[in-house]
Amino acid sequence: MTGCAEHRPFLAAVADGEVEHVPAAALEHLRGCPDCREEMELHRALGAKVYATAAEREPVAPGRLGHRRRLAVGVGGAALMALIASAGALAFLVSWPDPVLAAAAAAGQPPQFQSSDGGRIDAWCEQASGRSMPELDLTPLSPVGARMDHSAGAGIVTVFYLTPDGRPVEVSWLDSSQVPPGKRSVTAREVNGRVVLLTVSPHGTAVISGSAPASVLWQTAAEIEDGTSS
Amino acid sequence: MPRTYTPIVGSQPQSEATDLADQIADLHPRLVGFAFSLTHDPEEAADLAQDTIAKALGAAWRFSPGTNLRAWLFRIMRNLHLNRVRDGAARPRIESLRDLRETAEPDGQLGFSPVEKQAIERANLEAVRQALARLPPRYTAPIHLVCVEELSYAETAAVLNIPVGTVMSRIYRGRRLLAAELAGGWR
Repeated sequence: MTGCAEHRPFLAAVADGEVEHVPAAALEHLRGCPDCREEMELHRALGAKVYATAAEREPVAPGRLGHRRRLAVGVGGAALMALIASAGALAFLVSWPDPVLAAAAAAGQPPQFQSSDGGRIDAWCEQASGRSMPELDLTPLSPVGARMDHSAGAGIVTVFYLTPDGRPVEVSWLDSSQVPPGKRSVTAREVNGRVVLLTVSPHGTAVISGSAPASVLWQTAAEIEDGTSS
Repeated sequence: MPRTYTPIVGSQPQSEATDLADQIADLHPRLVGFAFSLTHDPEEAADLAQDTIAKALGAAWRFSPGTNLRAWLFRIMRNLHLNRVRDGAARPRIESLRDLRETAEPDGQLGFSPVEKQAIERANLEAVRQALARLPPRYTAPIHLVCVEELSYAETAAVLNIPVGTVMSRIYRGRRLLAAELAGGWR
């Protein structure tokens, strides 16, 4: 796409949510340019990893769950406080062992149910967990299976997806709490050297993981946070 | 050997001064983190953090309650660091070819290379930490303040006493350099 070079120096600022310092033309370009959006996500992923290097050295205090993206895919700076205020999320912060770690561990296990039919996967998940599954359109990801785990005080429903080029993405649902738009958030955490994304969405709290490119994980988290319905 | 210092808290009431001293002491690990981003040397970082605390306690009357204590401390630290560098108190940091090349690299014309993209996605935290330690402080300081301390660009600009636009370009270029380091070299 033309004009990328002109707007590229603003991508880091957009990734950090500092859009007030970014010219409108650059934001407009970003909306229509997949290459620049991918690069912006890489800046964001790099920022999350830098945050994680420090978070690993010192205990994470409440309110410092992970690299806060001020843009936060449409969520303001109060997102973390909202996350803490959310009863379901509060349980994740204070409970031990950490459900996010448990979700990442569950995502590393093989599916207990395999199907390429999203409807059948949802039905299996609902039967296994006793709670409803969100109707989400995560195109171009294709569902391939699911598993149910009870760990760290949470019932973790993991749905397995593949990208069009066969890279795995796992979405582990920790609950199905209803969260209003103002309390949504995406925060990054580092688990065993990899970044996972804790997403508070209108459909519940989910942990996004997988060996797909970081930009795909962030995009998936953004869509879940947004609550895009199929 | 660690130096000792005696808190001098000006004319503030004793309880307020003690509260502030406690808050400052609680921020010691964060100060060491920012100091490391400035010095790239653990011993110098510890010294700088301690000097910053001493200086802050001595100037506590200047702090306005309700404002950002971290940003105030970081500003003090940055000024102390500059003074130390000017006075030659800090050990001179060897300027590497990379330090010199950073003035020209990377340009804004190209995005991340495919190798850099892979490196970003696959890098573990130790690799990121080592790559950060190889970047010039002019980039690591704003990256640390924004990515770790989560200060805004405006707050970072105030701490470092540079324009917001400079913060923006240093973070952009710093991340580009970081990606290049992770990819194992320079284009």
